[in-house]
Amino acid sequence: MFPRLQIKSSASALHLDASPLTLQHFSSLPKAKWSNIQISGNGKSFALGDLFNISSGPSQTLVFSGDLSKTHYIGCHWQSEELIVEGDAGSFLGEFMSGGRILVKGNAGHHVSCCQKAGTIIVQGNVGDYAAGASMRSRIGMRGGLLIVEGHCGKWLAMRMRRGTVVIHGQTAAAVATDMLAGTLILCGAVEKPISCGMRRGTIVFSSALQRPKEIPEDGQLWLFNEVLDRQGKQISRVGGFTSPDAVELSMLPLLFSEIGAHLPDTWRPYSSRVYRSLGDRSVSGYGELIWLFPKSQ
Amino acid sequence: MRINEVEIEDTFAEAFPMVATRVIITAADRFWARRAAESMTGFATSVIGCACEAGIEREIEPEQTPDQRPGIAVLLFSFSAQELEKQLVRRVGQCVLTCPSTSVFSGLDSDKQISMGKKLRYFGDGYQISKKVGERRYWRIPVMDGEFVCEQSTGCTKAIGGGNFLVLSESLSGALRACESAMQAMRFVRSVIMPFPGGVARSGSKVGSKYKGLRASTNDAYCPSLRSITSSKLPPGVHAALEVVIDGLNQDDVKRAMRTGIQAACEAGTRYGLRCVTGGNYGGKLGPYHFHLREILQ
Repeated sequence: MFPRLQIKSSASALHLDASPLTLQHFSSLPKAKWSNIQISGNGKSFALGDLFNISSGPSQTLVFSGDLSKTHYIGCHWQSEELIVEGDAGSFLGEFMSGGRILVKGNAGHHVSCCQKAGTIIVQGNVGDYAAGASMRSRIGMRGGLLIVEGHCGKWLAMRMRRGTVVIHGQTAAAVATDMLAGTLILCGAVEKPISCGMRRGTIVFSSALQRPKEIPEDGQLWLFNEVLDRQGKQISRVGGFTSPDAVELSMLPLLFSEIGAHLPDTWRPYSSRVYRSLGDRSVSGYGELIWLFPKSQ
Repeated sequence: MRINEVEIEDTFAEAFPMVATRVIITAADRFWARRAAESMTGFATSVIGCACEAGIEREIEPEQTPDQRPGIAVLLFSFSAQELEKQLVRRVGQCVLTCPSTSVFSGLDSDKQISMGKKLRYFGDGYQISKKVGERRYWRIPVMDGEFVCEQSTGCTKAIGGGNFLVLSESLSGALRACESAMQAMRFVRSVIMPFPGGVARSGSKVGSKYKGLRASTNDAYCPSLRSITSSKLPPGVHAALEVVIDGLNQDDVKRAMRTGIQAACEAGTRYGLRCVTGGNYGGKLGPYHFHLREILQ
């Protein structure tokens, strides 16, 4: 039996570090001592019992409930079994996660899935910036596993991502796949420009023909972009480019979708085996691929 | 023991240990999958002269293949994992990679793995792309019809080679008909292949030779033309003997195939002039696996 942790209203204003709250930690302690686990918040140390109401939850599942939008590092280094957040979660959800499953029934903050190694994270609401990217503790972003966002996604998705798969059902804000090293993004909603600046390898699949930017040339020229965002979100000038899209048959796509088939949105439609693909960012000799799917009937 | 008046000799068939792997070849349609599989399993009748034994195990429906395309399962057998890997890479490289629209996947889960795409990827000349889906890694090699998808490695397991039975008949045409019936029935047995042309060998061999350095030579005891000058094992009235050779992933598979094949051959009974079914018994010199015909058929 593992605990159900309901945050007290007095604690929801604190910026808490939930990284000690793992199944391994709870199982190593007798139930009576759970309330003595120390966690830090706003630079101070608190006993868990002072911040959360602790009750018994389902077996092999750790449940958080209440307003946890300022509780950060939930599921950090999560290794196995399930974690459920019944509400909003703070930043760094699932950082360095290496197995198991995390389900957030609300929104999540910034840096979701950063440095994730394996396992599955499902966020039923929106996520903030830098999802699946690097964090202050590692130069390399997500390196395995699966992130499903059923809402919208903030800026800088998959920055320096190395491996793994991300599915975004809703809209994706600017600067997706900046300096991406490898991995797979399935973007089902609209995507804000600029995208993929400095992308080395990896795959971005745009599922709707409507997203194919109108200004992409048809004449085999490089599709150049020179407006990218700096870290503060200001537009700066940097020349990058992708090849103009070619129609290709990719045998790999059915395999990719076999992994995430159950997690695709209801609006997903069967696609034609013929897709359009651009390669880049050529300004950094990248072979990352942007793939536009088209409905089967087209 | 008799089945349909056909004598089942009280002897055993000898078989020897091998290592094996299974790969699944998929293609745009069954025609091309079969062309690749037939090409890959060509010149793979006997491990002595071909370095491996290979054959088509079965067809696989699109719903059961990794990329939802029509597939063919191929089994490969050799004496060591190193030789098996060498033959696999060579045959996939020359016969599957070259065949339009094909992809190739591991068809055997095992802790022991041998390389496949890991070595073939270099054909991509730096343009190859690695993609990890779940726990499996695939290589995408650009080719002139799109891309060739090849799994990084495939499972390798201990197996059995050389399971057999001999069909003795009054005439060659009768022996052929009996073997054809046997092969027709054995096609539906899983995890086995019959590596010889049409599944049948007419040049059954004995261990050793009068010539130095030859490991096997003609089985003179079953050659009708030598009946008068050797210690022949052919009963009176028998004028043709054919051998069905079976490789399987384990003893039960080989037994099941032998039972199915012998029963099918005997079904027509004396109508084909079938007199006797026996086993390739080499006095224990060939291998440690002994398949007693009468036990198998009980």
